[in-house]
Amino acid sequence: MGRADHQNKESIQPENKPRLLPLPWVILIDLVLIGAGLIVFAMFHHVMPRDIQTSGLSLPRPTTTRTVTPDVTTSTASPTTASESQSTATMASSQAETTSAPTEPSLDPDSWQAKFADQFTDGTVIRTDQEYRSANLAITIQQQKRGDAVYYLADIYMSDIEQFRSAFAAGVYGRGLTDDVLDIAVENDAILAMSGDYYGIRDQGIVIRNGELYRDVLFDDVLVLYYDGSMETVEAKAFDMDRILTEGAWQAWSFGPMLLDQGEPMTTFNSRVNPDNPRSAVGYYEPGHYCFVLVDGRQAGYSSGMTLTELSQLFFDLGCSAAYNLDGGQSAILTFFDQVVNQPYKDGRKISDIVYIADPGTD
Amino acid sequence: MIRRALPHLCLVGSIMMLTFIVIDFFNRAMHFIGGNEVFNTFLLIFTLLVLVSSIWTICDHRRSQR
Repeated sequence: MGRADHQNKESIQPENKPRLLPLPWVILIDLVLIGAGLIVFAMFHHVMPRDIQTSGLSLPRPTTTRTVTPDVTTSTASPTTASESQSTATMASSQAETTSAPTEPSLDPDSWQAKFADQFTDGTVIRTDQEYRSANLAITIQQQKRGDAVYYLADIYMSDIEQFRSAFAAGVYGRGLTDDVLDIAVENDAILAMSGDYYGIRDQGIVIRNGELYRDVLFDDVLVLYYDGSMETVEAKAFDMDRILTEGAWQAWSFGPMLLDQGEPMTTFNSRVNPDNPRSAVGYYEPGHYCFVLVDGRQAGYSSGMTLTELSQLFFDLGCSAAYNLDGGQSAILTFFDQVVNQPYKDGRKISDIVYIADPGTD
Repeated sequence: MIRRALPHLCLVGSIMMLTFIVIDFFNRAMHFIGGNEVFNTFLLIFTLLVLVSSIWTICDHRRSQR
């Protein structure tokens, strides 16, 4: 009886064992679960809009100007390098649109308007596909090639720092709120706009926009633009929030890294994303004179992009005294009025903010 | 059932964690992982151990089921 039971058990046991799925199926199911897990995480982390508690501190324009250390290199000349070939072939020429406007009766000799008088018009607005000039603003866009990278250089002169602005997607500060660079630019009447620091993808990084402090959590290098027009890049270890607030910060971005060290090109950076990539970056010559650089990349046969070392050297060659890398890659987009200037990688992506130049006095 | 599913869930979780650790390594701005380097190293080791352990357990289960 006992032996018969044992034999019976042996004959039944294999049938009671759960059927094993083939190994490829097991691997496939695990991979699907991993993919699903990552997508669900990305939905919560990137896509779903979330309110962020802001510092809510409005930073008024200071009555006294901050002390600016002398720039290592300062140039007001048109920033073109001799070794580079300028090409405007891809930018269709258009007839200049001119609009008459009343001229200013008097000019403060210390103002940027007087300082850059040769860049501004007497009130006439000149607008082409590569240029915008008015009594308060001058922007020139050039397409250039450097090695195997195509980049766009927007040279900017302005008469007031409040023309250098930034804007949020949907006009609201928050996580997961994104929009196309062009749409944000058009909504804000931007003349020139570029992808910002994509603050909305992180919980960290100083965020000061248009004179308002939104986030005061430090993260790596910071770019600060002051009300007096000076711009500085600050390493995280040297950052002092009280100082920049006291000195009148108008904007602050957190992406980085900084690209010039005391006006000198750098070879090591506070970033691990050094390979060739599309880039967007801001350069500073002197108060009132800035540049946007947009490098196209990841497009074989057209432009491979730039390393941070190459980008740093480019800003040095341009004569900038400070420069800072903003969100590049697929985010790197430059717009001029209602047109995208560059060729974004995979048509670009929606992001949370832009930097832009406006000319409020002119319609 | 739970005994069979658990190592697979550990495997999925550990690979997801490794993905975040790698992304965070190249782009710290994502800030998936904390800023403490020692903690990050231990987390990486722990994740790798869980990964190896879960694969091992899955293999053992399959072998014993045959």
